[in-house]
Amino acid sequence: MKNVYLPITVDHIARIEGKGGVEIVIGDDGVKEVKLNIIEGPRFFEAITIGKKLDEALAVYPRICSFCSAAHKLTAVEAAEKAIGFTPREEIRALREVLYIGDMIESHALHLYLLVLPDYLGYSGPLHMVDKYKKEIGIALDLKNLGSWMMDELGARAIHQENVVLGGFGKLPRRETLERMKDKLKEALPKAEYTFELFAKLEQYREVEGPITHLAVKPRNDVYGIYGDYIKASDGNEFPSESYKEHIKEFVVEHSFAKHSHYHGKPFMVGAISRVVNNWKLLYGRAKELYDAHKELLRPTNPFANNLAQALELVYFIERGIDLLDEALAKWPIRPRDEVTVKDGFGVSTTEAPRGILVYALEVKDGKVAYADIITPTAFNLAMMEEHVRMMAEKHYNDDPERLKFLTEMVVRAYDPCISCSVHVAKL
Amino acid sequence: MRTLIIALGNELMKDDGVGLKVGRILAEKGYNVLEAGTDIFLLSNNYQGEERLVIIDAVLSDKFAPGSVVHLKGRGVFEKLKAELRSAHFMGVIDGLKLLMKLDERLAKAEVHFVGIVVEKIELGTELSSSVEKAVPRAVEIIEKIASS
Repeated sequence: MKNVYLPITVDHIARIEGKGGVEIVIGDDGVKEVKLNIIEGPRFFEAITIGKKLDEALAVYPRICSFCSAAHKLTAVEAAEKAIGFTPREEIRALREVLYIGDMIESHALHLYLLVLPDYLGYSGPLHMVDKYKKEIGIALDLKNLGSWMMDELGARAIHQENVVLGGFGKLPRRETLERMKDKLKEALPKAEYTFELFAKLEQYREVEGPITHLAVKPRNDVYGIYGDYIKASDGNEFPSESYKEHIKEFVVEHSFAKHSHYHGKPFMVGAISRVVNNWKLLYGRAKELYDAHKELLRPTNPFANNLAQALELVYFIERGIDLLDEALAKWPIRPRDEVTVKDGFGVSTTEAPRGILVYALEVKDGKVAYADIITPTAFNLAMMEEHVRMMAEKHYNDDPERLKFLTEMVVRAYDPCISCSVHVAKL
Repeated sequence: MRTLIIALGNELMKDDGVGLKVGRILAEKGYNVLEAGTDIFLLSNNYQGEERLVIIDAVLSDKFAPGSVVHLKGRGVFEKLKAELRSAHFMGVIDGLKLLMKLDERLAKAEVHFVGIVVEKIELGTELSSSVEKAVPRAVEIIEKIASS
């Protein structure tokens, strides 16, 4: 028996002390064992907020991740507002969704161009491809900057979004700024379409084809989007967000620092492809045209389709952002905030973060957080990701170990896991 | 010479947040500070052509005691610093900076400094350990000297 240990790039994160990665054990007749351990940061942040005043806790949650800070902030605020029995006005919801779209654009652009594309072009990373592919890296950073700027204008900061408060926003940008945001989104649309065309040409490895159960938030108002009060599964089932624990069970696995999750006893997937699989009928505009023309590539059976689904969403969310801004501007001037009374209660928010369903469940008692449960998309995906790594390994266990390592890393990257926002240090 | 101070870190992981704390003190004093957290790419949206960059961050070291303040300049930033700044997108801060330098000539020509504070504890929590807390004034002083030179 030969043992092949294939650490992926998470293994140097100080917090997990070099234990993160993929371990594949190969015997004489094939793959014996596949173990995937990816750190799940936010599970450990919940405890920090217990006993904190609600507004103080809401300032902590976005700090879980610099890249997904808007997703964490907006989901936490919605859970808190549900807990205290407050519903924001439609125009406030629209502008919050625009802020969330900024996060989506930034995250998808960085993932596709800086993480995924180097694999396909034969580079070890974007730094090595920039000389030859300046246009592509430039598009990535242009889109990333657009997303950051949107978050900066609506959230008051590109990270941590202090401007999102219970009841609405601390303050709103000037009307001219929102008009400019529309213009910038329109200017970005061709770059998003270029991205879709580029990723439509990339190989989706058939070795990992197989049935996948996809879970996604069922969008409100029958428009493809981010917020929703129900979870929809590709098996036809749907259930209220509040009952997530009845359908999704978390469990400890011996080899992993993070818990895995099963839906009705089986691994499942969340993310852009899961949203497309469950909600494609709710797409519209240019994204719907692209979906119709390329739906055979957006296959529900292949995790690599997640990359193309993200590219499709770049197109969709740019157009959706423009429409949401129009909705908000039609009601201008907008009062930024309503008064809220912090009452005791329990609220669950499920939103679509760039990587899939993000759950915040908060209990408020005496103005403080009495209970918090946060489940991130990466945590939901771990069990399914491990299955797909196994499938890839089973097809390629006889290959050169470096080739096997490369292919299994590509599987993991297709899921766009968010793994290391919890710690970052330099080593001297 | 205009100076941009880039504060990095995660303040939910104890000493990992020291760069942000130093950055906020300097911002209150009126310095030009970009609080980037763990996202070096925020620089591309916020860079105004400053001729000098000062990166302030937490560092792990076997050679220096916790609370030591390390100053690297120029090529030393890239040569001596083995970056483990793994952001959510796997990309290290130093690699990210190198990438941005390839896209922006002004950035490539900028004078780069790195001021690092050697950490004691990287674990869940919002407070700094005492050795690192004591190093904050020293780091502020070093950066003020760099900015005024």
